[in-house]
Amino acid sequence: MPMRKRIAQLLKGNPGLKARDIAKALECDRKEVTKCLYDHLDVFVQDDNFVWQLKKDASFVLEFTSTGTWITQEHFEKSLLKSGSPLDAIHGHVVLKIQKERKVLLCAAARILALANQLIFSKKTVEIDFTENKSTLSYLNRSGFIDRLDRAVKVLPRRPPTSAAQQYKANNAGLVELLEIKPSSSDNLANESVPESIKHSFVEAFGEQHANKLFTLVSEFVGNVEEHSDTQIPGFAGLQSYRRNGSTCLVAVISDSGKGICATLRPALDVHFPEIANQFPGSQKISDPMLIIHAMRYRGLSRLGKGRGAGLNASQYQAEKLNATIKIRQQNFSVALTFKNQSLYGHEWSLDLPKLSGTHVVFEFTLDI
Amino acid sequence: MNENISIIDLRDFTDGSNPYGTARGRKAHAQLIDFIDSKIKSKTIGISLKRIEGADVSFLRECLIYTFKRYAKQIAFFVRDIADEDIIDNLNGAALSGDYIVTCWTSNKCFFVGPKPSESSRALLDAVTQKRSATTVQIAQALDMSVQNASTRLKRLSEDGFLVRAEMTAESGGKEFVYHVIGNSA
Repeated sequence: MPMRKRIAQLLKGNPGLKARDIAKALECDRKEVTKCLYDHLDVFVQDDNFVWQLKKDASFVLEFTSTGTWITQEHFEKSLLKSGSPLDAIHGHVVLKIQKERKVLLCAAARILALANQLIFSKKTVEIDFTENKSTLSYLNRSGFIDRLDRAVKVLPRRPPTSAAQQYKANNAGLVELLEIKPSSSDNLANESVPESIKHSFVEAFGEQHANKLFTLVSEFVGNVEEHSDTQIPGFAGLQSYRRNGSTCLVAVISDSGKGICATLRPALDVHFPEIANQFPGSQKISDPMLIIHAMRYRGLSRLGKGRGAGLNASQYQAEKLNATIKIRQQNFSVALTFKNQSLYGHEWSLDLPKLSGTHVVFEFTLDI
Repeated sequence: MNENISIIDLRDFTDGSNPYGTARGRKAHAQLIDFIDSKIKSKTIGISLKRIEGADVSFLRECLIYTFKRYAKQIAFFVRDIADEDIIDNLNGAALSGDYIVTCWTSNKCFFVGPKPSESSRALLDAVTQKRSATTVQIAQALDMSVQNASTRLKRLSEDGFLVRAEMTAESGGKEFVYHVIGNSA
């Protein structure tokens, strides 16, 4: 039997052995064992204590850290970049850790939530460790984070027994719970609307001004999730406010784990918009972020053909009025548009990001209150 | 101008006062069409947004714009009682997306959303809008232009959907055209 298989068999029954112990158990030369282990790092993984185990049985630990008080979407991405995406790893067990004494902003919470649910869907076991961060767990529980988290995700130290979000529903002016976005069907159309809930909570806290701008920003993306998401993992949306430098800042998130904007648009481009298809060919990495920016800046692109596709542009227009920043994260890239003085100030994109499936939209703007 | 105008409360066709999205728009569109076909005889219909607190572009396009386009040349529509500027902006986005001009009324003021008139016709449109209705001769005199020129431009404005044209008997006994804006405020 090949050495690799012998070592794999041994570690299956005895996870966590040093190279010398493996060599002793298999009655082999230690150098041979070490070479085999290093030649097959796709199968074997060594931890900080020089102990070896099968990669699929090993834990992928992803810790979200920040030098400041808050963990934001930027910190999420930095941590993901450092460790790589657990969605791409063959580890069967994933631990998501929040750094001690750090708070989690809604934009980061949404991504952690999406990642955890996607990992469960890809048949991994997942733990989210709040052991050193119980106050953050309590805060996120009130946001509906635990309600939206797949039941199979293990929460440490323990999953709260009752939903604080249900208890505090809309009574927390600083936070609107993360609400589930259900696929559109005739049964759901009459249900309480997620954009409406978010709008009403905003009005209650800050008044009518800007409420419809926010409503439009949220509703166009929520509508897209309902109609195009095409995934079994539920999407969600939420709103958070906080104070920064004497101003009130709003963060709205809309998240799904579906195919992504370009995967939805591209099949129709060749048929209905061949000139756009030529301008943004799918073969070039940079095309997808540029296509999204184009769809936001100019109305008319839709998988259904001409005479539709105004939603993304409508969101951009309202963001312009609010001097907001829009960031859209896709599976392997992200785009950002920044508005100042009610016009487009700049746009940028990041390519080759570690995998996070779906579309994760974050709007941020400031109220002069 | 005497005309039989029917007013439809859009809220009667939505599940909430903040409708959004293509799916809800299509549902409301289907219900609206059923209602218009079965109940309404008027050639001018006003859609009241009095009880609509908010609506996004996707909904307004699917529900209203595609309803208006369906009855183009048969029924003249206008929209009134719009709660705020943001809904107007979304209605404009919907009208541009659907390439359709919509007459709107708020606080006794008439304006248009969707594709804009040509620069050369804007003055004529403003003149008719201000008066609510006017003959070709009246507009020609007000703007110091030839009747022929005014006639061509006014006809174009009515074909584009900004105005409605009606034929009437002039004082001289001959026929003349009157152009008027669609609808009225509450």
